[in-house]
Amino acid sequence: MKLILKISFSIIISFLLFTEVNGQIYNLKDTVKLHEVTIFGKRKIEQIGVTRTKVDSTVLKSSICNTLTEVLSQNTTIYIKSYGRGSMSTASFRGTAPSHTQVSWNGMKLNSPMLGMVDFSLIPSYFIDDLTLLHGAGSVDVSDGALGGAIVLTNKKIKEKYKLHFIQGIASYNTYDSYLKFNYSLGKWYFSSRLYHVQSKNDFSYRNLDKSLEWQIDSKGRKYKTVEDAPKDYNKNGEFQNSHYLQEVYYKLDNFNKFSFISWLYHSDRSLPTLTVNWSDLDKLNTNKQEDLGIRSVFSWKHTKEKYDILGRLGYSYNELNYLLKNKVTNGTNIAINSRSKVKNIYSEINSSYYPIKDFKITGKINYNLFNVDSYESKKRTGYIKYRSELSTYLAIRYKAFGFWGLSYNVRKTFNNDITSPLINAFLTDFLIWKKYNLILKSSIVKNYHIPTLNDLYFIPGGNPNLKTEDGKTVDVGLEFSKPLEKGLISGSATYYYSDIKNWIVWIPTFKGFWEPKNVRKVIAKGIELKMTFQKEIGDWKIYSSGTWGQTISTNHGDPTSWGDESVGKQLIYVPKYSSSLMTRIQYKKYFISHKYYHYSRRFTTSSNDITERDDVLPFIMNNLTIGRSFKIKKINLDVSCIINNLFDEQYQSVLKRPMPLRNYNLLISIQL
Amino acid sequence: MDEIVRYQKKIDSSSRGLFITNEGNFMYGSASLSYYNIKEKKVENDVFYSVNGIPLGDVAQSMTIHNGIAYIVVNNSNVIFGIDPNTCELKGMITGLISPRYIHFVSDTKAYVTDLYEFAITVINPKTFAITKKIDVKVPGINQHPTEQMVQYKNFLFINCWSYDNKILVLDTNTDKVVDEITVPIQPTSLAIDKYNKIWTVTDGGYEGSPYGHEAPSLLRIDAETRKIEKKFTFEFGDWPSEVCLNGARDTLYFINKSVWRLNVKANEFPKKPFIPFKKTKFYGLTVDPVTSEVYLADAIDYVQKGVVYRYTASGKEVDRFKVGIIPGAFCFK
Repeated sequence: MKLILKISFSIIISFLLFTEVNGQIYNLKDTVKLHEVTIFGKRKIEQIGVTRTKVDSTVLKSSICNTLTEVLSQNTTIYIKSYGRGSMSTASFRGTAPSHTQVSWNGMKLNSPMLGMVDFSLIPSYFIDDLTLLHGAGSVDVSDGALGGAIVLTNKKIKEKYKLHFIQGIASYNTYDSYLKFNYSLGKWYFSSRLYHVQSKNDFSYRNLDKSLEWQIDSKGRKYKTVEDAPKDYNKNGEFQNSHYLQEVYYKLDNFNKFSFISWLYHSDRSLPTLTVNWSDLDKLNTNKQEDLGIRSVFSWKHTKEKYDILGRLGYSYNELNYLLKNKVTNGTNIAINSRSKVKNIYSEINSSYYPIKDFKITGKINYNLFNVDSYESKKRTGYIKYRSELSTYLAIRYKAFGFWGLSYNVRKTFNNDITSPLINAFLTDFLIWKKYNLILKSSIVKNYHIPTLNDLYFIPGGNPNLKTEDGKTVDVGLEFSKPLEKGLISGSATYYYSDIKNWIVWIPTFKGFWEPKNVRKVIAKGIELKMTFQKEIGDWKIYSSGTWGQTISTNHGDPTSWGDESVGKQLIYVPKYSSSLMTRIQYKKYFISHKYYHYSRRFTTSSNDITERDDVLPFIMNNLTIGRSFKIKKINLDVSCIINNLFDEQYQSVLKRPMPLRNYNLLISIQL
Repeated sequence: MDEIVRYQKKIDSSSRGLFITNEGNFMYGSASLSYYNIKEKKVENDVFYSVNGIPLGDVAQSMTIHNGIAYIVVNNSNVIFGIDPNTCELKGMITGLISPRYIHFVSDTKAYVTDLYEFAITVINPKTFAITKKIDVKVPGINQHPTEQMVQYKNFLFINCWSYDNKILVLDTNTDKVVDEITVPIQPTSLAIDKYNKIWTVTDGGYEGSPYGHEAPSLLRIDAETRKIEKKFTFEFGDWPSEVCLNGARDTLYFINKSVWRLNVKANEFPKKPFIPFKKTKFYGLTVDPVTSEVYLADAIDYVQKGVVYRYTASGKEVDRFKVGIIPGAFCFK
């Protein structure tokens, strides 16, 4: 399969580069849009002092094969811990735990009330029209408990009256991605439907050093091993299949009232790949499967007047997660774990902003979430049924003094039926230093709280109903600038943050024989975030480049548990100290080439940060290259592109003992009319 | 030339010593083997990897030496490695297992392997590293007995069944059939047989909220001949006793219940004071030197860093402490 793909790619690349289609006139403006140039001159009052990252729509729509796993790891300073394509991936925002990143979709919480986290591999990037990160204090605007930050996902209607877009991807390891979007407007109505399906065998081969039994001997008589001498193995139990459907309906009653209804259905079936150190016979491989399915729907009404606006939302979601671990034994199968959880959520929200005078704005928000969790493991017959009722109230006062000094005070109070959460306060300010370069000094301070998840409180065995909230204090100081260029823009920012998180919840072993969550750790997470974006058009050339660099020092400052405990002062596991990314896209007439690079430094797998040759999750640099060409045949816009992932064929690990694919290929054909 | 990624490091483990199997974290594949030279008080970590150039795997459960080969059972890697105990060089491996836990030898050509999920106890030939037979332990309706540790009396093998079980199975090694079972309180965790042919086990009692039940844990003495429970010491609710083991003379019993406790196998009273008091940490592994009756105690600290092994004299005085691998769980003297 790999060989066939390689050959077909070579043919396609040569076709793209050296052939011309007779008599066709290309008009690329229709097919490849120039990145929208945001005008930075007038800053929005809501953004006073906020450290935010807006992921460009070009990045979101760069490949249909991407989920937010790839988008966030390749374009932001967030660390994504991924078990490989199709497998679960979680975020660490500014060195915090996955539950400290709050994710919302059109206002609705995506974090599981059971586990606290979000699996980003279940969010196709083509289903998101706007992705904004709110780092630190800025997150209070949308949520409580985002000790690292918040990720805000939104859907938006596009301007086209009528459009059909189909993309088919064919990739290595029997991977097929299909995407269909259809949208049209009808008077005051606008409809959009998106369908996405991916299936993959994901059975890539690799050299398994962990099963390399033979030594080679060098001239000095020393025994050694190389990757090339290691036996060929393949990713077992790697197959996955995901389907998503997104329906949007927008209705504009008049200039003041807009309504929308958005609904997202998904179903995912995937196997959890075996470790590189698994010696199971092929006919004895266990079944290790996870099924996720659900629906999320949000109805919203937006009322806009000159001096105020109101946003009302009503939503419902149902998410189900089924996990099965079944062993193949003599004369049968033996289920080890068979768990299912059903999470229902009713959500409502009312937001209003009032701007009585220029440069002054008051915003109030009330949102209510009712979660119902039914979790059951049928082998051990353990589980719980719980509900969580959560009312969150928010008030923000923002004022811009003298046109260059912004002040913002945000306060949030959340009421829960099962745990008391103190008042959240955030103060943000910014200062325009140099108007020509739009150079702004920003600073913020926040005291935030994260409540324990339902599993933390009620899981059997171990759930601890006496847990307290985790409390974090974060200070940010940063500079940002932007400068419009002739047919282009250059912008950048640098931020320093310092977070002190107390009562950090960790599951620890107890004398009772099982693990129990406790508020034991104190974590200090500090670091630097750098971002830079450049875009320009020169004649027929269009260049877009965007890069990030992050330093994340996230260390444990709890008390040593016993003699020999070397975890104090050490970096948390699976938080790389350094990360960077760079994406460059160059377009010349009907051709385009884009290159993505991202890097993570070493990730520790022990709390004492021991480095052993055996368990080293080494730093890695990934390079992906896309080459494409656009065609216009009558009214049809056709894009053909090839993606080469892991360009330099690096053997690497993202998570200990989990294989990752070597160089692999992807062919994408996109048709729009 | 291809890039060299690892060199062999030779290990000399020929002196009298103690192997420590470090479980590593489940699904991290970070198990390792440590070797402690008893005389020189020197520890060498990661010896399996150093010599063989491959990691030990996912969750090293136990190690047993027989006839010049040390067998290491690696539970979630579904494998048993056979190494030379003097050099740690890999000599062979047994695959085709489901979730192996312990190995017990009855002869040079026959050994039994217990398993958490397999519907059977697996019989292997240690000479050929091959599986020769499966002995059914299926229970109609509730899958199987999750078999654990084994002790032998005459031709009978006694096997405790821990996870959501309350049985000690009796297997006839002549016929390879389960001939009897002893019902005990909930979840017997470990086994030992003393010089008077009395079998000792601790039951952990389950946990609060367990549908299987929750009861006070206990220490039991069972007569191997009559297969009857002769004595029962009951602990407090919420205690979690584990790791019963004996000294070389097999007349003194040791186990962990927060602290380390010691009692004479003939004792009628439970000791008032612990042998080694608990020190703000949860002890995870325990063994007693069969020659010197020195005691080794393992602390897994936070379970995500290198653990510590403490060495005590026969009278309970600490004489050494050393760092080993992640989650030191089991020991094996050589």
